[in-house]
Amino acid sequence: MSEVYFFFGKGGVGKTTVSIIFGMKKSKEKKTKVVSIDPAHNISDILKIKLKKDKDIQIFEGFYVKEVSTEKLLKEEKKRIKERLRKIYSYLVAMNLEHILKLVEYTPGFEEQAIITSVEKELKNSKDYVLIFDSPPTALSLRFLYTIITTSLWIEKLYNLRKDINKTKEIIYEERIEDPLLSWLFEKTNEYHKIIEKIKDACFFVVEDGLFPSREEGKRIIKTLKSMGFKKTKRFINKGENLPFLESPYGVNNLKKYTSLLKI
Amino acid sequence: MHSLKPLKGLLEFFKKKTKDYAEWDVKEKEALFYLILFSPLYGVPIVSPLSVFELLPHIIKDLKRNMEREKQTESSLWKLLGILGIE
Repeated sequence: MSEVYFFFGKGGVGKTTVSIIFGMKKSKEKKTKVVSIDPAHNISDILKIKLKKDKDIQIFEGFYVKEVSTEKLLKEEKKRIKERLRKIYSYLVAMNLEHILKLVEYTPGFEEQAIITSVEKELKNSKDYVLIFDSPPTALSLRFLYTIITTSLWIEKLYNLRKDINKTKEIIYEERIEDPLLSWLFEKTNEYHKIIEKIKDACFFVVEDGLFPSREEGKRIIKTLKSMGFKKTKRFINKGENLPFLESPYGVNNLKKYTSLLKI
Repeated sequence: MHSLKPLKGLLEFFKKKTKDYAEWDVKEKEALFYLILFSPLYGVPIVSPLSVFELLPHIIKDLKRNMEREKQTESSLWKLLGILGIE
């Protein structure tokens, strides 16, 4: 089972820098990947390397980084589903598909869902890695976790409702119902349970920069995480007891040197 | 045997009523199912919009089947589809 870490915290406290240095240190023991799920990525700025989006980039032996593009993910997903639908229906009679796709695109929660999909993919595909997620600032990160929990609950409710409908239909029409929707809902329910289980097993570092606002926000984040059932939370004081102030925290070689200063 | 005739009629009547009620119940539950499923389309992201995308092929098949079966504009499912602009 993979080791999973999330770095949360107020914007600008150094989550990316800390997660990279932590990742570099971890890579000495095991293959490690730092995945940025922040839509405003800056791994490339900090490492001073141009990164291709959505690709695992090896920085040195055992250490990889990746910047997830939610926009790209959304585009690909839309393209894939459109093609699938067009194969089934050569003409769009049943629904005004274009209209619906546009509506869905601007629906609240889309960004959070795209992040969930990315995290899910990483958890599935990087089982033998130490996975470190560099998260977006507090609001989006917490919404992402809330979305996983609520979606899981609703999918399960939908599954039970559908099962109930099918059962009644089987009695009324005296025929067996093969329902792909029900199978899909069953699979999704299990998938969400697995993701939640894995995330609950992950360690959440809440980064602070020693200043009052980030410290207060950090306390609130820990309280919220615990209320959601994420018990493994730890405060990380950047520019303080866990990592001192760094003179030039940019570039691979500089950051590599700083791994010895990290105290976790 | 003659005396059982009214009882048989009564049983038939209740059987039909039960079936009618079960059919109505299924229709209402289906409407609720689609109401939750289509939630991202009216701005309440109960279910992931990406999941709705993924389910569209199945949903269309299912809806077409339902539409053919019940061409009753007064049903909740039809009302919901009308609100969402699905014809």
